[in-house]
Amino acid sequence: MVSARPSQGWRTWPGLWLLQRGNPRILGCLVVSVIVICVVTLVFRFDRLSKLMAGGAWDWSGLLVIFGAPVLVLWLGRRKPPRPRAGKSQWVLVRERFMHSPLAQIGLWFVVLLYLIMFLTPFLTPYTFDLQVDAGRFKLMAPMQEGFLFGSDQLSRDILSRVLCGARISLTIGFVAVGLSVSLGMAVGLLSGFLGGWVDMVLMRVVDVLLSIPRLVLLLVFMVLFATALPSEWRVHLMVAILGATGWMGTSRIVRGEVLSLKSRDFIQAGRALGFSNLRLMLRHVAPNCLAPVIVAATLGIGATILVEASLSFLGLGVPDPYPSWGKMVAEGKEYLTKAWWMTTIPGFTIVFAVLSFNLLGDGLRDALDPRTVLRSSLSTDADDEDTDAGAA
Amino acid sequence: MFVFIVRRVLISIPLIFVVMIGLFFLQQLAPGDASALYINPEFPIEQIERIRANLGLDQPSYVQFWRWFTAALSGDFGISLTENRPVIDKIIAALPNTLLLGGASLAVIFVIGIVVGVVSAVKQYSLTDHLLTLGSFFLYSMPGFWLALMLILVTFHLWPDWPSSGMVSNEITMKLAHIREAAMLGEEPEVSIGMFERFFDTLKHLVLPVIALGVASAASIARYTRSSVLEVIRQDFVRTARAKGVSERRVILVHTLRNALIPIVTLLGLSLPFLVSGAVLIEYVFAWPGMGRELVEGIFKRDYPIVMACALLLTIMVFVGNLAADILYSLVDPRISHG
Repeated sequence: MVSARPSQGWRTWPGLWLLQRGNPRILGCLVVSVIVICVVTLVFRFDRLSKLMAGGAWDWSGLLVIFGAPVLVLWLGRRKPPRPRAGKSQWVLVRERFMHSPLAQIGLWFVVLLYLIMFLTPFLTPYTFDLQVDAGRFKLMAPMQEGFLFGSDQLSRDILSRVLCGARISLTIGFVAVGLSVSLGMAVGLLSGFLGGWVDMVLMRVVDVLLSIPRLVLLLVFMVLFATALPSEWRVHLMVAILGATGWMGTSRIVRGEVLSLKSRDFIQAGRALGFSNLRLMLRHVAPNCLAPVIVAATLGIGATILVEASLSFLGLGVPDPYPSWGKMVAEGKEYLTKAWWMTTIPGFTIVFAVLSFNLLGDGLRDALDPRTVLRSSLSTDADDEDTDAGAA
Repeated sequence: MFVFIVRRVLISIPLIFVVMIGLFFLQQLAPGDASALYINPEFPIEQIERIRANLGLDQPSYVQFWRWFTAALSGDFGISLTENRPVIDKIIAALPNTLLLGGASLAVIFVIGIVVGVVSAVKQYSLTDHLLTLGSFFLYSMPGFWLALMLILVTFHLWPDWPSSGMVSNEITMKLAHIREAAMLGEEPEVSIGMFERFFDTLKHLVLPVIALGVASAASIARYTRSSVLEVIRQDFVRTARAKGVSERRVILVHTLRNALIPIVTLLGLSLPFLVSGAVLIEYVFAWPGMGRELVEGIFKRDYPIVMACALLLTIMVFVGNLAADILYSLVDPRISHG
């Protein structure tokens, strides 16, 4: 990574030099698009600024991001001096492999934009998500009519505002639930693999039992049984907890496998010989080394969780009224399928878009984190290895 | 091999038992029960007690479980609490429909998935490959219930007559009712239903649910097949076959595919439970009278005999599927042996 000095003109602007550089061009796109979106939003919605200052945490997160995100990307995209080092570190290699796949880069870009837009929701929505603009006149307006960009629903609520607000709810549920399930899976996998013996036996049998019940059935039973028992504002928390509690089994199996192979390696033996405690060995030496598959599982898991959340909401078991979530909006539109196609089509497309982004990103990360992946361009000597495919599962 | 199968079956029995206990007590844990359907809040307390006693809900939950369990062992799954009908009758009515839907989609999934996977592997890094990969990513990320709604929407505009819900069209239902009525009165029915008419009617109803159910899984099978074929195609015996002058067609279809399908075959076993559980939402959208709908309705109505019977069936299918996957694996790949 030899970097030439910036020549002159626009390229000296921070961040923009990345656009011009060849290989990680997407980084430049990322930096520029984040800044452009934030600035344009700020210019067009300047009047909201004072209103949001008086708002709650919901609004403050938007304020924080609209000023914080450009600074953050500029800082991340700053020009670093080349490191005087003989070899490349593992993470540099991972980044190079990641930047080699166009689909993965698109996935990364989509995910960043998705989260940016999600945080900017308080600036972007034309109306609030539950405002019935005019129930008499604006019922079931088609897209692009009367200022409803995505149309309105049967209660004359603006679909665009609801989709944006639903993004906040759906993405947050996905993120938090996956955070829970990955931590749980990691803890169980570490304990099970590292301690072995009866702990391993018991934990893995529990995993077997939980894996033999289809997840949707387990979720349905939980949601139906406890949704009625709790006040409706706790339903989202319950859903996050249950989604997290039913999604960790796969991760724990992966982590256990990794731990078993790491356990016999020399550096763990050395740690033991130095008298490190089990806890220290587990957390400081084993856990960081089995992070790679966990990162992949988490990224793909967010996509899957968004889908599961949408399914639950579609059955009427998700977010309580009047809050929107994408799955719930599709369910609401089901009644008006032939009369108002936009009510089902638009939230559905946002689900597909979000899940697709996470799947592309996760797939790219899997290839990038797998040391067996060989870059095509770096191999020109051996024609046979040219076909070494990144997609090997 | 035999010892392996017996051991696996013996291990799975306590696991199934634990799953059943867990599900049962989970249902008992939450407040409320199926008697809510019959109870008016103005009823005197002793009448409510009587209703609950009639349904057996007044007993402590371990007694209820033991009753259910001992009866289930002898093949009696009890009577539905909300419909007063033997559970086994409901399941016998619903199971063939679900198996039809699931079997048809499984066939479609594997045929399309394998064909797409092989094509994109053979033409690796071509435009076709990139398009197929992107397309399968797209379809894989699509929620099945939404695809189902979109299919209904599109067919509604293109072919308004195409059936979009249920399993039997109205004409046939009416004819059936007429025939039943005539049979009860002992008369000769005026109308008749041909075998082909029934068959094509069901087939027409099957098309949309099968697409909605199958597309996402077909996309993931295609991705597995692609990487599996790519792994095999690089091996020496394929090069040898080509060097001997075997036609490219034969190299792909015989030499490569037979070896590449080994991991795919295990997926076939693992997707067995999908036959029942994957269809929950699709059955709901298309009003398909199958197990998924029974299960969801049972859960919503707190009808525990139905939930337990469906769950038992599902759990057994998971175990059978896993076992089938292992057996198939050792059958197609002689390098793997189970002691």
